[in-house]
Amino acid sequence: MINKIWINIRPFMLPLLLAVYPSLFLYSNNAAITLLSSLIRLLWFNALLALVVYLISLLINKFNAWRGSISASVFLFYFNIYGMVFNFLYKRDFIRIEHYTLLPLFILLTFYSVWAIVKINNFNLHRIWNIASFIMIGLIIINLIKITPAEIEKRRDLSPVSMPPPSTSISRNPTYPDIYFIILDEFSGFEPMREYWHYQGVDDFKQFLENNHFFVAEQSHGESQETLHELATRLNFQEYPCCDQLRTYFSAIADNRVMRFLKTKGYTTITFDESESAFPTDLPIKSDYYYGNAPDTYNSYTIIDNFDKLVIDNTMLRIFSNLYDPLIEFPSLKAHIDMLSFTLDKMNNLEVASPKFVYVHVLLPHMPFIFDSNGFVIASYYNTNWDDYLDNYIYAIKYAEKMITNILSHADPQHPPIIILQSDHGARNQIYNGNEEHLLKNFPERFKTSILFALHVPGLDTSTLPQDINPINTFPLIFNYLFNSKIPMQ
Amino acid sequence: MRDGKPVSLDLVLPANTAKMMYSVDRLDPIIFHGQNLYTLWGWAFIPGEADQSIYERFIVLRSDTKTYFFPVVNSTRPDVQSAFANLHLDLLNSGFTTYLAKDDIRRGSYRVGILFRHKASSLLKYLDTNSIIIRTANQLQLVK
Repeated sequence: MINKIWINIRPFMLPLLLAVYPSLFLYSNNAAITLLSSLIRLLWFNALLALVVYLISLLINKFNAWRGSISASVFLFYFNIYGMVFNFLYKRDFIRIEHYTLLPLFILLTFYSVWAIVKINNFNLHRIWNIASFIMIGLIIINLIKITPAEIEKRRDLSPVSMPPPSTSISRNPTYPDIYFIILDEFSGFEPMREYWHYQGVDDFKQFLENNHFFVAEQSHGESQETLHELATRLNFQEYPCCDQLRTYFSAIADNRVMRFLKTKGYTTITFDESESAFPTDLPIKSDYYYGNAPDTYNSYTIIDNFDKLVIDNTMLRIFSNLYDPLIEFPSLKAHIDMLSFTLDKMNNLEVASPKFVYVHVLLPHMPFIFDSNGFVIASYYNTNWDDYLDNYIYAIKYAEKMITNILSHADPQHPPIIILQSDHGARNQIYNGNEEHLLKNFPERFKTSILFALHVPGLDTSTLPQDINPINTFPLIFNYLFNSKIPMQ
Repeated sequence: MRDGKPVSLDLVLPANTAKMMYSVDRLDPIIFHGQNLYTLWGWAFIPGEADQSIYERFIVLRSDTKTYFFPVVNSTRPDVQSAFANLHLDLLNSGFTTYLAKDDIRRGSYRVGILFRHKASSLLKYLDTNSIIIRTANQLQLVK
């Protein structure tokens, strides 16, 4: 019985393998930053597509299963590479490429290939089927081997992390100051803004900070250009290998030394973190209050995600990109704007007793460069043109000034807060989607790690702090001052 | 009418002599009403003209053999207003955006020009900018 079912199902295997392969291949290359649920959703779609194509092919081939299978597989092959070919020719720009010209050509090629291949006799057709299946199984196994360790790591990361007992068992000392750690992602240090962009507005910003008793280090650089690496390093005041060790950084940030230490001092920890939108597999930071998105926004709007787009863009479904791109763009855009507003508002209305540690990580002035200098949305969510960095930078300054003004105006003058205002890295001038014309010309490499480093620590003598202070020393400096922790500086 | 289409203007472009302040800022690909278009952003005004609103503006793309006129949509530019505060003009609406459909533009290089047409008298003022738009096989590119 089982044998009979297998004999009937077996021809369907090749179209199925061909249909799921692109999703598996792309997932294996992005497993660290993509949710398994995204892959599973796409695999269901791929399987359904394979089934429909196979059944139609069976009908056309008068229920000859092997011919039906080969025909369906040929179609799926062309279906899966159409978007890639379109993209390649479009980017080369030597011939005009439109869907209404390329797609009919592709369909013609598909039918010709099917017609040519089904003329082969049954024996050879079966051999072709066997060889193709063998190759596809091999390719899929290779990708599953690549995916498995990444998935195991993700599962391990989800296991409970030991946290200190809740603050009820730890005496809360209300005289300890609130601590704000604010990260503006991709916010360049001042030197590149003056030298490369000739933007003198940074001097006004520096003046604003100094007027509010901040120490500003102008020559501070991060170790790397990677957000997660930098945050892991600073939140644990220890070096991590650079770079691309995503799972290590995720864990180190999620259960970080700074928050663990502050919990033992009776602090309540609050996190506002936009990392999730850039890294869907990121782990939420273990804190008493965690905000990864503004309430009721992103998830309720998401219909298809960026991984779906990555896969679909390579297929014949690319002809519908004008329809599905806005489905991704709108929710992403809305979630980002909502989160920026929510963070600002919520920080202003935190009904949490002191002492508290507030960690804020916003993707500003990070790509996509959607804002003008006043914070109005003027460009597409896919705007990756570095010429627009400056406007977003200016808006980030206004955002930071507002945040600091709010914090200081709500602070208890008897116990003024500590504010750490930093960026993870500078303007990295990274290429996106191969658009070289969107890059800044002659942008010096050393500017890419130039960061914002500003400290507001009432009572701390900052006169001896160097202008090139290493950001890894941020929390040792503060903890040694506040709690006499004697953490060695690096 | 499809967006981004040039309009037909029955006129002869005047000499390239108008005194004009302008900037052609950028050209972005966008999807608008389901069409793949480009948006050209910038600002322009005529110094000394107390009422800028008496003019309608067009973006002109001009090659040796072909000239296209695209109507613009005014946009607010508080930054231009504050940058030229000393001129004491109302420049808040000096910004412009215009949609360009690449399919309606032949391959080639086009000098970007800005045309002001007086709404009542049809008096024309024109200036070639330093910007060039290149229509390649598949794209429009702005070269400044």
